[in-house]
Amino acid sequence: MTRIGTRWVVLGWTLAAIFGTVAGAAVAWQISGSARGLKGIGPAPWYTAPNLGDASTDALTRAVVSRTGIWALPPSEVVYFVADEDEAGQPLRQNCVYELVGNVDPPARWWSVSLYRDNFWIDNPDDRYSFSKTSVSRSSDGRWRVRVAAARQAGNWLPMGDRPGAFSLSVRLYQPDPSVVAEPTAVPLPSLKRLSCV
Amino acid sequence: MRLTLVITGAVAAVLVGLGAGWVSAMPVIPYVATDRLWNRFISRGSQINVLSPTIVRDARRNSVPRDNADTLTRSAIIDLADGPQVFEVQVPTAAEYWSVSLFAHNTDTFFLANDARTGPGSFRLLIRRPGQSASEEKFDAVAISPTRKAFLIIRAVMTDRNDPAAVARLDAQVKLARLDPVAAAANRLPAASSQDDAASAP
Repeated sequence: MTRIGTRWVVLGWTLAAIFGTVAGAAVAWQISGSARGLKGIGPAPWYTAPNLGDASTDALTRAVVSRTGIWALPPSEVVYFVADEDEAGQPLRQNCVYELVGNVDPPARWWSVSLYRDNFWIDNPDDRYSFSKTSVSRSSDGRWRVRVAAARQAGNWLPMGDRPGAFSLSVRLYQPDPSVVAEPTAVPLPSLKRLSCV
Repeated sequence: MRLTLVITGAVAAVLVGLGAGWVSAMPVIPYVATDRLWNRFISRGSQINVLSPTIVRDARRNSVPRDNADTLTRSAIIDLADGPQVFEVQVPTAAEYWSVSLFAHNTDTFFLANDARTGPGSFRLLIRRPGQSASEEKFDAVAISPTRKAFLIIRAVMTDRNDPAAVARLDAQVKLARLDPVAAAANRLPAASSQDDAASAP
């Protein structure tokens, strides 16, 4: 049986522990850089992480929010829903056309829906990154449709830009009704359907 | 020492290290994320304890992840090392929503007031650290920062960021805010003027 000096063993274990510590910190940094680490609850494909933006939430959520949505407000003030997949569970892709349809306004003082690629706005000639309760064009019955696509669309158009990436939509509900926080799965959020892909 | 014991010990050391690295990194990450953005703001001209000007931000000059494109935003990196600061504002009436919020260095929200709470008109906020003294009766609210450095954000939601006239109306109101050391603010009427400094906005 091979025998190794105790001094070398301790040194090796120490180096292994140091390596592990650095690796653990690196993994923490890597994971905290993606909002996909924040799975929560909501009416699919939308989800919100409980207590997002609240100091009482867990360390991982706080770290993720600090890197992917820093200075978020607590749920009593704003509830943030995210969708990175369409209703069929497919990731949002730059070569597809999607349609958001809102039949009723969510119960909040003000709302918006924004599009991000890799957590940032997508540069476009219209400087259009979102539509809101007060900026979206509606039909006569109050309903609204927004097309999410790379190519220009008639009506409300959220441009996806000319590069692929990790796309996500975010619905913000400012000063939400208490029912939003109490029962996020019951919030009437827009449907999100994929219409076509090229 | 037996080789199997040595290898088992090394694996255990790596695993313990992984856990320790994860646990110790998590609370540090919000500080790092905050410092990275603050340093970027400062490199673009932001100054400590000075409110940034209002600008309609776009994708070409935005460094805040998952930012809200519908807000006219002003902000300030606050350092309370030399004493309390006073934030004074005429609360806008042209905003779909307005709030002032304060975040600690580790991103914790430690103060929030919106226009539904303040109502229209002037609003004076004293920002201080625990143990810092200041006469508090002149203020509508007092925010006690758990960290020496903090971040103040004014969020004013625009009706439509692509409507220049509406944005201009709101912009004129959002400008009526200032941030001063408590001594400088003591003898001035509340929110009497604007302080639209030349520093770059985040």
